[in-house]
Amino acid sequence: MRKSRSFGAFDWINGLIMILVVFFTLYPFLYLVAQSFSSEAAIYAGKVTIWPVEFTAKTYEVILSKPDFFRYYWNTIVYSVVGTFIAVAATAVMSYPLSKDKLRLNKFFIPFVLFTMYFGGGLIPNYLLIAKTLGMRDTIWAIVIPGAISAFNVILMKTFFAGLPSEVEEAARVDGLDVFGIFAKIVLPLSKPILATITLFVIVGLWNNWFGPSLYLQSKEKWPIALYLRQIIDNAVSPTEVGASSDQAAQIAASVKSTAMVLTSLPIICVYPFVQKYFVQGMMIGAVKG
Amino acid sequence: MSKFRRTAGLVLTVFMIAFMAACTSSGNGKNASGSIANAPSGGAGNEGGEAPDYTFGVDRTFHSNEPVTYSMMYSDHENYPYRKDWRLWSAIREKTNVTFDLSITARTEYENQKSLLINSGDAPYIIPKTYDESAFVSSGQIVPVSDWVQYMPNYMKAVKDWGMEEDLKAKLQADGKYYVLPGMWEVAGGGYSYIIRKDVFEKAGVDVKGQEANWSYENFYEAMKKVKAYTGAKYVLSDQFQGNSMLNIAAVQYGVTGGWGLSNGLVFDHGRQQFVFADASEDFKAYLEYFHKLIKDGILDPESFTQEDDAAQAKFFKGDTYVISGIYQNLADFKSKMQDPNSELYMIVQPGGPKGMLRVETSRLENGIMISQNALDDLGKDGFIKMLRFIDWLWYSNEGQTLSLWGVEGETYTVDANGKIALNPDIYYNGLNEGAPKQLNVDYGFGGGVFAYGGSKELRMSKMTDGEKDYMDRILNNRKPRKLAPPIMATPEESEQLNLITTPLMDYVNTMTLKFITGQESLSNWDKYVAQVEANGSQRLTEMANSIFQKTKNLLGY
Amino acid sequence: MEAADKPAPADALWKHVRKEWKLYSFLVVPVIYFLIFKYAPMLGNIIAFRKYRGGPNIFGTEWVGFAYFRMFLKDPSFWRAFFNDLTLNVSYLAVRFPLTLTFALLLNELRRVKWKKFVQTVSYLPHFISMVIVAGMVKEMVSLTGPINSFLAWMGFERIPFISLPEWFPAIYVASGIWQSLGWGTILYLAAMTAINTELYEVAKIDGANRFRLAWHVTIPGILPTIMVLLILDIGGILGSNFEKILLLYNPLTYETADVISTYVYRMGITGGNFSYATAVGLFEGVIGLILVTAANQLSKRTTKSGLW
Repeated sequence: MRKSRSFGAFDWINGLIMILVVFFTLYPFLYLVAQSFSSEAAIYAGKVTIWPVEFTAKTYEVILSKPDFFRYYWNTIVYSVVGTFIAVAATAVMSYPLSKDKLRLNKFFIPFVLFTMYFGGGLIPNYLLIAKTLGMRDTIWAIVIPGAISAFNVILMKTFFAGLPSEVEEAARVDGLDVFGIFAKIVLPLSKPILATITLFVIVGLWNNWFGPSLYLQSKEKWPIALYLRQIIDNAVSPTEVGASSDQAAQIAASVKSTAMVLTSLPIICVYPFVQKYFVQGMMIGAVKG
Repeated sequence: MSKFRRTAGLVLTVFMIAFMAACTSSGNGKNASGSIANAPSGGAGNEGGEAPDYTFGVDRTFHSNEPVTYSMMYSDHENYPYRKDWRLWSAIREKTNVTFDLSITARTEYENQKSLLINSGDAPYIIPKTYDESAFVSSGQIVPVSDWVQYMPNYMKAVKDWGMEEDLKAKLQADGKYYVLPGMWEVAGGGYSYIIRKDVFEKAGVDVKGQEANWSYENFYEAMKKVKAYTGAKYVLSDQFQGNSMLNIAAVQYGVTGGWGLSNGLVFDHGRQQFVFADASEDFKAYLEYFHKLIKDGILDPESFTQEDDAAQAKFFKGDTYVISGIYQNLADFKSKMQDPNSELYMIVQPGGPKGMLRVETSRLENGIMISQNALDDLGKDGFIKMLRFIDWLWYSNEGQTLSLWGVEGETYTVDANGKIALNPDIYYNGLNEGAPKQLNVDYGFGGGVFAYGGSKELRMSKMTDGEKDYMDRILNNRKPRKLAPPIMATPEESEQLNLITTPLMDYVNTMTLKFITGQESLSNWDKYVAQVEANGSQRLTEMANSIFQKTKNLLGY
Repeated sequence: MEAADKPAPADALWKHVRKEWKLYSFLVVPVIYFLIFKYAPMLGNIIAFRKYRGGPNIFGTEWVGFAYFRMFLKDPSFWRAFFNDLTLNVSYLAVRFPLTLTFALLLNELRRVKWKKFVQTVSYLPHFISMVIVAGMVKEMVSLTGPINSFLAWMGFERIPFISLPEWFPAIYVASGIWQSLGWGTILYLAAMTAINTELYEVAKIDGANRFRLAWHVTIPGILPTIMVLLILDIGGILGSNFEKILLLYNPLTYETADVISTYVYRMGITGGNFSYATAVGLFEGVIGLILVTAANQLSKRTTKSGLW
């Protein structure tokens, strides 16, 4: 617990900077939210800034009334949760030994991992592997397994593990715990910040992942919300399509992008506050002394 | 970001260009006179008949005795998302006893997925919505369907009745065969042009109704100047599509290439029967000078070339601008979005230019269907022919095309005494029956882009509003059709070589086009530009194209 | 020294592995995963040296050696793209790295917890807005009638068509990148900061350190491994700009500074041989990345004693 200090000049400046940051990052998002609740006429007239003009929830109605929408949401939740669990567990298990300097084979394994950051197989070999050889086409495994362990996350976690004070593990060894016990009972609890961080990275990545699903999922029922969003937002493709937009589609066209965006990103933004509580300082004191 | 993503992204992009390249409306569909030298032997004995287990033929509905399923790719459009319970599927099944095993892909990822499935050997039998099949020819995964069209009576009839042999030449590959079943229209469409505020133009003293069909680009410029003077607006035209439609349709009239039609900068001189590089010629200079004039005089908004389509449209809806590029569907779409309730939207015929009052849209082919080699391997020759005859019925017979477009008689449309089709009043489609509660594509699955394209003039006109019919008529009556260039039938090696030259060369042309037009580069530096174009290989490119043409012109009938 | 007294290196290694087998066992499944999912597909890169025209025979049809490499190495447009990649990424790195670190430190100084949480969460929001929408927003911001130009006009300056001028593209790219990633980039730093032993702070404060000295002498050294790791990885990634973003923001007028390797390859388009071409380019980038990351790592170890491996 810090003693409160007086509020100095620095704090004023810092506060001002933060306000500016908040303004520049919050404003565009508020603009999108406002747009999603504004009428089409108002949008085209350019009247929308932060608040909705001519408030209407019509776009939300239209999107939410499609039964598929909730299915996509559910799919996304499933993919994200399952995938995150697998990814974080696998990454932690891999990173732990790599963080130990005493392991001589690390000189081989770390480059082994790093190498994969610079070379990949390309679209077709990966597809052949995942869809054909492993037969994962149109299943959840094609989404959550191939990207489960990323070299980047491994490196981050290993760096963190390496930074943990060794006395703690020594003490545990003296107490009779073996490697597996130390990992599970000592290291992991102490690593909540990095585990929370990687969890956050992974779950956000999975939530927004449309590319893998677009390649490997064949049935529309299995789509994640990100793919649905991409369809709506990215109409930068050829307009020479038969099938002009229907009356109803035309009516909400202006705000459909922003509405879809808001609906898709809101849940994942809310994940952060849950993760935040692991970023608490002072976890180390108890550990070392105890 | 993992390297997989990055490399995947890299290779993915390579696929996407196929789709982008196909965006050109007057891209590669070029005609030539003469007939295909190795056209498959005619449809003798193909008028119809009974195969052991199905019926087919020109005036017969395809029907399979046993239920049969064919795998197919489906491009899911977000405006009318796929539904399993669409009337479309049951209607097809009732008539033909055929169901589809669909591989459903989001429209935006369709090209990617197509490429992936084909190249991994996993392609479904039927691959529709193919704009550019050339990328897949050498993969060995696509059937050279020109060898098989002899078994397709409706297709052959359309080719014969509508004189499509020349159009089909555009699809010939280096081996003299073609690999796609293109969508065929009896008449070409209207294509992209300008949508104008007729009310404003007329108030400014422009005789739209009377004179518009005769406009050259100079006349159009004069008209827009009047509008500017009358309204005092900052700009009269702020374009969407990053100016690519505008540049493309004008390029035709100046004898050059630009915008979506930029391609390799080559134009075919029919008189001398050779390719010429047009984008460094005096014609090109005149073309650039015209658009530069539009910018200098405050008629054309320079941001047309960089802004998002939404931004351009917003200006038009608001009434800040009075002209915008588009197709007729856009006009129908825009009507409800105009801020000014008195606005009258009108689609002008594409203005003429130094090369004459030319018709821009000449291609009667559009996206088509590729057939995967898997179909031939799995079904065997007889089964394969049976599938082709099904495709022949659904996509090339009038009955099939009508079903795909309009649905089921009595359920979704009615036919009057003259044989004219009238959509049920409670169903909306393409500007018809505005305000109706149901939509033909969204609720029933008809009128969708995967099935409903191609057909007779009558069918094409049947889905048009009166406004669009008028537009088509004006084009047919006031614009001369033109001969198009033969395709450059390059082998894969030659394609590689050509590509190595054209990409940097045309990048330069593209950049300089915009720089000259916007004034970033002064036209007094024209000679420097010409010299640089030369240095970038325009001459080599022309020579290569011509030598390939000389080699293959027999196949094309020259 | 008798040979018998010195165990052969291989034996020593084997003994070591047997001793530490429990730790090594952690690696068994992950390594298999890597072999299957990361290394096996890499075999496909062989088409950089062989002609591949599409189709399931993914190893191509015949050897062409370095033909595809020669193709792009001789192409001046490729080198222009390469140079742009470098410029954009180095600029971006040079601005983002100090700003993100500073922002993280400043956040750390906030004392009202609720305010801190609020600022943090809000600063992440741009990360969640999809690139297509961001590009649209950026274009609107820098348009001739947009806020920036309106401000310039109000100040008496001429309006500038930013998005069509090549000299402005790097600034637009960097500025929008900062906006998107500033908040999100602090997460790792903040996580690392929580692991710093608070006793170190207490001790330093007793010695009379003010907040700047605390930051310099306690915080930064405390998170130095994280800082260096991120920096090294960034340097290794210097050839990989954000393809989608550039594709959305560039146009022919700005090719001179905006066209990067990935967009250039994209425009090279598809004809039979372009899978091979793209793969060759990918290999080229990969090799350079490896060289850079190794060099950065060595440099880091020499100067700060911490590195990647």
